[in-house]
Amino acid sequence: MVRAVLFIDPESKVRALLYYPLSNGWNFQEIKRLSPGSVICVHRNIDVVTMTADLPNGSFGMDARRKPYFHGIFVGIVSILITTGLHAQSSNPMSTAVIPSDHLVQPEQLNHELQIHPQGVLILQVGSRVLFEEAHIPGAEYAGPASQSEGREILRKRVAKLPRNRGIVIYCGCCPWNRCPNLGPAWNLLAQMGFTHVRALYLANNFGADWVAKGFRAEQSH
Amino acid sequence: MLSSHISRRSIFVRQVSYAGIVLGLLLAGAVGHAADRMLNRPAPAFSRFDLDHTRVSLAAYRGKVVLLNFWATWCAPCRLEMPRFVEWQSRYRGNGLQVVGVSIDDDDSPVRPFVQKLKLNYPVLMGDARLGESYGVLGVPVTFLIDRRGVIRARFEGEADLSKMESEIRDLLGASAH
Repeated sequence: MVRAVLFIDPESKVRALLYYPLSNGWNFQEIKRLSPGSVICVHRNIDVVTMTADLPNGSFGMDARRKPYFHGIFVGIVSILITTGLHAQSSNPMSTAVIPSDHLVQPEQLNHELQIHPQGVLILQVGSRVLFEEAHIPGAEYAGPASQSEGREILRKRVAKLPRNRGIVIYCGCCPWNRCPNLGPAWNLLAQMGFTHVRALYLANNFGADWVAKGFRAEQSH
Repeated sequence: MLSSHISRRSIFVRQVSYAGIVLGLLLAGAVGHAADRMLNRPAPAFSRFDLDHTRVSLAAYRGKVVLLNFWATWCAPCRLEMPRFVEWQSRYRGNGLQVVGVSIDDDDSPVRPFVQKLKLNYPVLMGDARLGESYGVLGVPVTFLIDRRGVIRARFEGEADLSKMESEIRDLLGASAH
């Protein structure tokens, strides 16, 4: 069991990871050093920034290739406990890591639920429109690629008037689960909006391999 | 009476379920396993305009080995392998390799700056559901290797083994590429 602090930038990229044994306390000075207005710079055009430890407050490291920019701000700090089972995955930062494992639904389970209550759950595809038009879960709605601000806006508008306890399943299936850029941001948005009954469909490889190829129903919209 | 009603209803539900399963299997056959069946068969023809408004037709590349890559700007594995495609396009151009990229982004606005940033040296066109369906693409990255006669010889999905892909490209290009 480990505990971890993840710094995630506005583009849902993990910018810093701090791992501690569960038995050890946080080093809040180090967290503050990494936090907004401190040392780390986040700017979409900067790839390399050096940040020496133990600098006095207000001192900055230097971009290895450009003059420093320090106006980027992290939008969130995610603090989570990760079991040893998930630790292997967390060594490869991924947006889907923010989704608790007990909020995942397997394809077989969702397919079963749909057979019993076809309209029982709101299913939102938060990935590619092209892939959605090509094949999607019957009844599912396209809700925009959540890795992009335009996509999140589509999702926000779609769910804005729904009761916060409404059952929602989000899925993407654009690429392998630990590489999906859309589900994490979609999950975060719905959580921020107060939705309590959200599940994410676990598609290990993609929608084709883990849904269509299993013989589960899909429909087209083009 | 009641039991016969329930019985008829359960039979109906069962029939509907079977119909659903059959429909699912049909669609699965149409798109899910299409990829496997496509190997060693002619690559589906297509013709689209690329980002430079130049018409890109697969038929025009007959006689060349085509690396057809479906990708998206938000796809991390795609971004990892594309610099290699750039490298291969330069290295094997003279041997007859032609890389073609198909973006499945919703529109071209994020694609154009991305293409410039990565200095892609091959045509990139915007994909659509029909093109994706014809190649059985339901996730990215997916890369097809098409031989000089227009036949699909290999398909790579997900985080591909790029060494293996390059080896297969060399084989398709022939001895001159070794």
